[in-house]
This record gives sequence, C-alpha cells and structure tokens, in this order.
Amino acid sequence: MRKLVVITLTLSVFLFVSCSDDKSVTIAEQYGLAYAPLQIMREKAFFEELEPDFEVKWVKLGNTAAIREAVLAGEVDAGFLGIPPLLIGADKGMDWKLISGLSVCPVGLVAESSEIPDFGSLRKDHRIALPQPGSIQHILLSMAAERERGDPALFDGSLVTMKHPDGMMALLSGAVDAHFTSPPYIFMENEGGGGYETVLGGTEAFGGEFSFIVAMADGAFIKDRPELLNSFLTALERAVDFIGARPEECARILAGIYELPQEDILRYITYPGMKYTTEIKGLGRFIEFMTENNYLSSGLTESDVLYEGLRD
Amino acid sequence: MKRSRIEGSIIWFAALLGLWEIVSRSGLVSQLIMPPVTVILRSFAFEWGSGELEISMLLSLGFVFAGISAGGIGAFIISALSFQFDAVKRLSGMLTAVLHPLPGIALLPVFILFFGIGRITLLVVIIHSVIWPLIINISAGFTSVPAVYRRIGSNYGLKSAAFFFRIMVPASFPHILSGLKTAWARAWRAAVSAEMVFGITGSGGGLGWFVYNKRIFMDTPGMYAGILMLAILGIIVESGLFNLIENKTVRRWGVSV
Amino acid sequence: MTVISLEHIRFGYPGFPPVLSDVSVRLGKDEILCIIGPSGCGKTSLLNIAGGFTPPEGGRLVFQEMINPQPGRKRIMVFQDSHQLFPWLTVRRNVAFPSLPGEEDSSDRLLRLVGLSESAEMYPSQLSGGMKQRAVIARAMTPRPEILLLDEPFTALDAPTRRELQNMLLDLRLEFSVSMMFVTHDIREAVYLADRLLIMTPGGTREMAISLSRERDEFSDEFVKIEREVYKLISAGRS
Repeated sequence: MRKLVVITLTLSVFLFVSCSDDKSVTIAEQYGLAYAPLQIMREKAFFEELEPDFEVKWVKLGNTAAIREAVLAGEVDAGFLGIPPLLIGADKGMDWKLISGLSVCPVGLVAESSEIPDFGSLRKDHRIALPQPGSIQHILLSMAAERERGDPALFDGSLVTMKHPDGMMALLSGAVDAHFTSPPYIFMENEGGGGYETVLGGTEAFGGEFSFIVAMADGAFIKDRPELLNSFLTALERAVDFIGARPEECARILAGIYELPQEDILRYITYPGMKYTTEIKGLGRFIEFMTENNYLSSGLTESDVLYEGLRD
Repeated sequence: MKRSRIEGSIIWFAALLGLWEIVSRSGLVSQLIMPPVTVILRSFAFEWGSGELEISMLLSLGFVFAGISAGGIGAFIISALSFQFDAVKRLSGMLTAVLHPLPGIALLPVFILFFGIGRITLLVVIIHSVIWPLIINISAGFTSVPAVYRRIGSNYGLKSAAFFFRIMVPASFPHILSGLKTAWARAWRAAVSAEMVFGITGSGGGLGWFVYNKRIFMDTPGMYAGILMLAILGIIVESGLFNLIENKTVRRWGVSV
Repeated sequence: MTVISLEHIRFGYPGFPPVLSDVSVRLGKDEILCIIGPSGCGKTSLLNIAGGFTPPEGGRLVFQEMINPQPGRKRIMVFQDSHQLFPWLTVRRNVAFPSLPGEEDSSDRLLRLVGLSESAEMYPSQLSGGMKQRAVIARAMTPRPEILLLDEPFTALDAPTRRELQNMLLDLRLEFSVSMMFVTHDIREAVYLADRLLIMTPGGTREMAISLSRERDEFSDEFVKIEREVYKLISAGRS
C-alpha cells in the first residue's frame, strides 16, 4: 500500500513538469478590440518575420488569473493585460515586467439613462456587472467612487462578476443596472437603442488618459533572451503603426477574426478615444491608488514593474 | 476492513501533503502557484480566525442544503406522480433525458434571464443539478419495490398514502440514499462553480466565491485554504455523514445499495 | 360452521387450458385444510382467489356474507416469497406493522408465542430462515385474522425446523382459533397438519378427511397408510 502511494505520486510529478525548449516563444493572446495590435501582429507575422528561427506559439487564456498562473508555470513568456492585474502579480512577488503599452480605450460604465442619468445617481443597491474584482474596470469604478462620492469601496458590495458578453446580456435583460465595459461592447450598448448611455467614462474616472491594455513579459524571458524581446517590441510597434497607417486593411483582417462587419470594425478602431500606442500611460496613478486602497501592499514603485530597457 | 480503509485514506492524504511540500520547496515550481503546505495551513488558520472562511462555508452549505431540500421534495413529488400516472412518467422521463446531462453552468444564461442575478438563480442552478439524479434514483427505488409488498399492503388494509409512506418510501431508501449522495456531490460542485462564473461581492459569497476571489487577487495560499476547506467538507459529509446514515440504515438492514 | 366458501371457481390465463375449472371448497371454523397437488395444478391460484388477490373468472367466493370481497385484515396471506419481512424494521416492528393505533402491545404476546422474544430487536437480515417464517406468521396473526392462507411457507426449511414450525401453527390455531388454508406439495406435511385435504390434480379435485388424532406420528402405520393413499390419488390424477 505505502509503496504504491509513493510510486503513484512520484510518477504524477512528471505530469506537471513540462519540457521547455529554447526554440519557441509562447504569447498569451486575448480577444477584444483593445487587443487589435496583437491580432495584426499575428496575422501579418511581424514577429515571425524578425525571428524566423523561432516558433511563435499563441495561447488563449480565459482571464488574467490564468495568465499569471501560466507565466508562473513557465508556460507563457509574454502577454497582454490591464495594469491593475499586472500590479497585483508583481506585488505578490511575481517576476514580470511591463514592457509596452498597447491601447487606450473609451471604457466606461453604461446604464439605462432614464434610471441612472449620471454617476451621481448610482446607488449602492444597483447591481454593476464587470469582469472581476481587481480588474481595471473595478479599479476605475473605485477611483470614481472615491473622487465623486468619497468612498472607494462604495460599490464593492454591488458588483457582479461577468465576462463582457454576459454582462451586456445581463444589462439588456435588466438583470443588472449598470455594466462597466470596454469596446466593442460599450459601443454596442450605447448604439443599440434602448436608452443605454455611458454615465461614467474611463478617462473621467481615472482623471486623465491611461493605458487600458499593456504588454508584459516574464522576467526570465527578459533576462535570458533580450534580443528576442527586442524583436517582439519591434513587431508590436510595427503592428501599432500599421493600424494607424492602414485602418481599412486592419478592419478587413479583424472582421474575419471577430465576425463583425468590416465597416463596424473600422468605425470602432477609429472611434474617438480609441488609440493604439506603445506609450505607457497612468502607471504611477494606478500604483498610488491601489497602494492607498490596500490592493497592493509591498510598496511597489514604477521602476519595480517597468522593463529596464524602457526606463530612460 | 473499515479501519484499514481509514488508515489507507490517511496514508494517501499524508503522502500527498508531503509530496506537495517537497515539490513546493524544491524550487521546481513557483511558490506563488504552489505554496508550501505550512503556508497554506497558516493562511487557513488566518482566514478561519477572521471569520471569512466560516461565513463562506456556512453560506455554501446553506445553499446546498436548501437546494437539496427543494430539489428533493420536487423529485419526490415527481417520482411519486410518475409511479402513479403513466403520462407524468413519460413527461418526467423526457425531461430527465434532456436536462440531466446539461451542466447547470451551461443553463446559467437562461436561469439569469428568468430569475435575475442573485441567490435565487444560484439556488435554481443547484436544484437543477440535484433534481434529475434524484428523480432517476427515487424512481428506480420505487420500481425496485418487490411486488409482494403491494399485496401485503392491501392485505393489511393500507390506504394509498399509508402504503406510500410506510412501505414504498422505506423500501426505496437504499436508492434514495444513493441518489442523495450523487445529489450532494453535484450540488456542491454546482454551488462552487456557479459562484466562480458569476459572483456577487460584498453581499457575501460562498466558498466558490472565496476561492475565485483569492485567485483573482493572487492570494494563492488563501485560495488553497478555500480548496482545503472544500475537501474537508467533502470528507466530512461523504465519509462522516453519509457513512453514519449508511451504518444506521442500509448496512444494518443488510440491504445492498 | 363454514368461514369461507369457494363455489364453482373457474380461472385461467388467456390462450391456455383453464387452471381451475369448477372447483368448490369450504373451510370450516378452526379447520386446517391442506391443498396438495403437483406443480401447476392451480393450488396457488385457488389461494389467491380465496385471499381476494385475484378475481375468479367464474363462480364466487363467500366470506363474512360478502361475495368476492377485496383482500382484508381478516384473511391474511403468507406468500410464497422469502422476502416478506420489511428489512428496514426490527422483528418487533415487523410483527407490529399491521396493528392499528393502540394495539401495538399485542405484538409482545405474539413474539412470545412464536418464540422470537429474544430476537425482537434484530433485523430480518440477521435471522435464520426458520426465524423469518416465525416472524412472518406472527405478523400475519397481528390483525387477528379468521383465516390464514399459507402458500408453501416451509418449503425452504430443513426437516426439523419445518416440524417445529408446523407445531407452532397448530398451537396458534388453538390459541387464536384461526382457520387455515395451507398449500403444500409435501404429502407428509399435508397429512401431518390437515383436518381435511383438497387433492388437486389435472384430472380433478377430490376431498379427503384425515381421521387421525391430533397427536400424529409420521412413522405410525395409519399415518404411512394415508400418505400412501394420497400419493396414489395424486399419481392417478396426473395421467
């Protein structure tokens, strides 16, 4: 019996230890218009072009927690996410760095304007759908709640965790009263009729412009393969430039991926407030707010999370 | 035999914990995803001390017991009617065949549409997860009642209600019990996973929410503390409660389950 | 005095030759009528009709001035089934099962009479075959029936146990003055218990009074003689 236990457990360990090889790089992929540059980068093979000897693997992960776990497990080398989840990981001791900005987006809190005409009329008993606590949407809501209502945790008891499409359905069916969301859902909700309007914009909540999605890389990846990282950043830059220079072609590529009409995509990616840029915006404010409100506890600073190559 | 079974489980459990500790401390994997057992236990003690873990546990248990009770009563009524009326039997057979294989999570959008977002929906998910296996087991139990019992009942002048409660129900008990065991396992999973799909913060979540939330905020030891709590409750109910019921009933009666 | 009478009973299954064609039999007060015959001769069918579990196709059953009454507490059947006790009840509760509110105390006396006082708190699964049948019969006596209908109740038991239970039945008859219809295919058992025999064969039915005294010795010449006579009648009726 005892012997059997030991043998089984020992064997099972090997299932978890995966083989890493030096000839490939794995990038966590996400869906959403805010991630458009990475879809372009993938479709146009910008990265592969620069590093023909490497195999680029794209994996799709459900949420930021899964990305963190994949990075910790050594399964993912780089990926894209909001600043707050990146900071939470770094705060807990994860060795990963912010390597680039990706997009600035018109995110916001959408509600039925007859019921909730402005942020001031949002009550504690209103239900608010957003992706998850600790997400950028949650942090933005807390920031606005602190500034305008004096209590950052005012709505923490009103949150309902839902993915964007579910959140939109919940808002339209009346199951929730407000939805803190991002493109394209925010556009659909605003333009779909039914009297839904953005009652709190992201910039307004944040008090300025901020990076909605940023790129990160695993510390080991940065340290061991700096040239590869540079190529990755170059490819990302090219993808961002490509969107700016040839939005129609981008819209055509993205229309195939998102199964949305090309003209809608074009309108969305050129929407006022929608910007694809590698510039990182708002990092300091996020760190400050999240530290003040105990989301972060290790006294993290900007230089702790920024990739050294960017710190000049 | 019973003692050696318990010993066996303890050996397995201890070996697992030992292996966990070794792997965690070996540096093969990050402690951020696999914290040492000692750290998890400390976190467990902390969460228990703060009351968060107990409240989550009680909420989850409350939901599961409410769901099993409501589902159980429903399944009982449907099974009894099916036993009596062929039309009901066909309907419930059809519904069971269609709905039983569907995970409650898959039906969540429909439930939300009808019941909104909140405790009612969570309860409906749990009821959905328990009612079909219960109907299947209770109906199987009713069908398994020896034909001679009906004659004995009529010989002693039992009316239908008395026959049902004094003979049918206890005679089906082994099946009902195994149905309840399935129901417990499924209700527990449904409660936990439904909370992971949609959670309501602040207003109090159960253990599923506890684990989810710890994961989101990357409190990995806290997350494992929640999972440990889930496992402990599973053992208590499975080997404790159900074992006790079995010892007092089917094993004592000498009837197979 | 007749407690139950079956008159011109006909019974069969569609598409098969009739199982019972014009069978008439009466059961007297305190009488033990043993019904004997080869398998398939309709013994059990006749008992089921007497108990009200199967309606006859022709003829009638008269009991307590009722014609073809439904099953009831005054005619209790001991079925030919080894699982008649409820496994979830102790022996005591099994025996008390048919009692109406307020009558539960009488089960102690019955348990004593069938010799199960010591085993009252055991569950059926813990009992031997003989003890099970004792409990079944004690339960059958709980509603104080006028008639016990027994369908080969001791077939599965070994010979000494069978004799003990036969004697127990005889004691119960004295104690409660209950009449019995007892189906068996064991000639010796029939001759040992019966006041009267109903011999059922494909060739027809035939009654026979047993004139032996109550203290019967199965090895006595008279006993063996009757046994042989019954055997001949059954064999003759088969052809």
